[in-house]
Amino acid sequence: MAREIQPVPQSGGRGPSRRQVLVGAAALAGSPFLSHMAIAQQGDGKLRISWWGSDDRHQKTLKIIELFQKKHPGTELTSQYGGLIGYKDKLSTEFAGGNAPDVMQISDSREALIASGRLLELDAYVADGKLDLTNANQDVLDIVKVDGKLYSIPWGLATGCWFLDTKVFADTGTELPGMDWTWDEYAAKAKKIADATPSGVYGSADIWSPAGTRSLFPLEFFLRERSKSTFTTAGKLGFGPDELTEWFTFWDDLRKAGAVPPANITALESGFESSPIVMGRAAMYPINSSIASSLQALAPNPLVIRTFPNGKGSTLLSGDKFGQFCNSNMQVYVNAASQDRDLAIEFLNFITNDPDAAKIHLMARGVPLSSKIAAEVGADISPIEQSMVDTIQYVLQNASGNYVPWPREGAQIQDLMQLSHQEIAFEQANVADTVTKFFDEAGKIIPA
Amino acid sequence: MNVAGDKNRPAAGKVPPSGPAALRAPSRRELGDTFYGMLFLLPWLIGLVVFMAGPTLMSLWLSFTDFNLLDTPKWVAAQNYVKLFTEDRRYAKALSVTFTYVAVAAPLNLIFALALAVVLNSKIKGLGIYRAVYYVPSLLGGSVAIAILWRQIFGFDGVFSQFLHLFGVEGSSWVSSPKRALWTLIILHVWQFGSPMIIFLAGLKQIPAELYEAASIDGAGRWWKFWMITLPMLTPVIFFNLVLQIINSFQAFTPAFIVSGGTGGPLDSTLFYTLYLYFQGFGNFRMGYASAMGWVLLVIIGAVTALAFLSSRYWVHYEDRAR
Repeated sequence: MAREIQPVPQSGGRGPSRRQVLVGAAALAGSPFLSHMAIAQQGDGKLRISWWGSDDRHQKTLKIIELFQKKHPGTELTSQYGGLIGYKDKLSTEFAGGNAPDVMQISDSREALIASGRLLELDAYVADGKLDLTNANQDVLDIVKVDGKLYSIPWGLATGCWFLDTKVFADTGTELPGMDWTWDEYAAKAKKIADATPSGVYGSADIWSPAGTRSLFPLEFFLRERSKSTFTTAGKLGFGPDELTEWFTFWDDLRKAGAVPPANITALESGFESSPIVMGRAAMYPINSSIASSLQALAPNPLVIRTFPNGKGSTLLSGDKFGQFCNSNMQVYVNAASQDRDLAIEFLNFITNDPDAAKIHLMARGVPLSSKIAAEVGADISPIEQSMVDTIQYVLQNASGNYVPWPREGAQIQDLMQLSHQEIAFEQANVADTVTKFFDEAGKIIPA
Repeated sequence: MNVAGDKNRPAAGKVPPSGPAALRAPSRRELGDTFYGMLFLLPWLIGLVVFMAGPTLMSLWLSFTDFNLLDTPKWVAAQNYVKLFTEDRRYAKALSVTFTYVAVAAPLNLIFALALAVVLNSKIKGLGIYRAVYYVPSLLGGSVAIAILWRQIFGFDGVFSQFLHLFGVEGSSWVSSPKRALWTLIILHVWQFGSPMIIFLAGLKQIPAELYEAASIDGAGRWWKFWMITLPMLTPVIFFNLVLQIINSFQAFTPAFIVSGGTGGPLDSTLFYTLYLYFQGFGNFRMGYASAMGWVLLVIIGAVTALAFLSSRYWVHYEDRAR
């Protein structure tokens, strides 16, 4: 197939001199390295801040950063933000490449970063008063500590919760539950709503909603009712086939009763933006409370927030303790290799204690860590944010027992849990076989 | 055959213009040309060594280690490879998903591309426009926007299920069905037939018209001519496209990542090899394991391509060899 290629005629004109070419090439090749060196040698007053979130949170955070620069003349803050998908991957790669941001929001899998000394320990700064945590909630600070040391500031308190569609509840004559509702009540209400609404509308979203609860937290809450937890402090699995069978069966029964959607509807969700409560397909939806205002903005009807149902006084998923606890899935960390740690600490102090910043931020990342600040912004918040505050307060008052952090294999166990839920929901396997398979697989990931 | 660079080398077979040119030291001018040639090649060479060859070899070493991206890699010998083939149920699933995808999407894509190339090779009005229009999906197809659009089209109330509804077929969501989700990705791949179509068109143009004339005189019909002339004459191009398609589809990533909402779901039904590799590497921070997966993929693609080359002896006809 090859055709004759004509020789290119030699150009007659004079080309650039060797020197010109060399200088040009050097400039081209060197420019990224030169600018990189400039970053490494940057003096004081520069911070790069990284977070994920929805547009509402981006806008508020950008305004806060602007305010910080106004109040701290001579500083230069740059931002790096986007959605959650891919965020963690990018950050890890940046750490590996030695160009991670100075200040960053991280949710899970921070243990590896801390173990390798990439994140700055904050206790010394708290002790010398640079980071003022006098009004901060101590229980939550205890939860976020790793081996008793503080590495992060929760940028807002949050918890796993249920969003309820008040209009569907009213239309179907279903009474809104209180914070002390039980799993029995939850199941009954889900069935009642499903029966009273046209086909295609369900009482509640399923528990494995891909975006919503794609985490082990719902199971963790249930286990804590029985003083157990997903993982032990030694990093092994903290539950057995009995609990998992009970958990899977509860959801399988609701699915078969038509109270929660079939698998192919649940699998449609690719983010809370396309969740059943936004699409008008379910009246109850489990997810982290921190997205309250974003979710309300998308939902067709007014929402309220409730805690996870209780095991106390319940026949289904019974337990004798309140299982839920507050977490903060949006914690802020400082890069141990930051060129300007003091300024980074100053920024953490600013987002925790500055009333002007809090007025901009409101509840964009959950309830403010400082009770003083939370009280100050209280007047400006929307109904859904008020509902979030009430829920967080209820959980703070009732939570007990320490949260056991995930071992390194936590993410793999979570994937396995997600897959197991799907196998039952898509009717690929029954509950008993799935439980057997789960422990079989989990045993390979975390040898007992 | 005369190649562009020949001017600088003493031309074999030709009488040198003056003196024994082959022994003559290269002139300053020629040295200068080599210098500039190398200089302009340098960015690419540096890129190859620094960004391709280096990391590739590094990953071979990493595949024998336990590496979480942050700490020093720990040597574990062949443990990663052993785990892949003995313990990892999802890996087996990823392999089967990927092989199904390659085996179905690559040939379908080529059939589509060839059919359209044959149609577009005829003399219809406004041919240039058609060619451009049919190439557009290939420009868009790999993009995130199209993948998101795809999710909508094959979603619950999507265009596709409404279309099926017209024919009385009860519509359901294809993207969220473990049995059908992979098909939406296959359709997406087949839809991007532009590049092979262009190559087929070029191949069609090279088939000598006298072959068709001779066949016409002998009374061959359209179909017969396609079967006996077009297809055999086109086999080298088909082979070329096939190899490219196989390699491409083994490496598919973006559509599965977006259409499945970054999960490879539902029920791992779109868990492409590359997607699982990404989850292990960047989701679970098992870089050693992910590197091992990468090297196994390299071997798989190499083996399948080698098979294609071996088989080509039996079905690819090169004109010059036949004569």
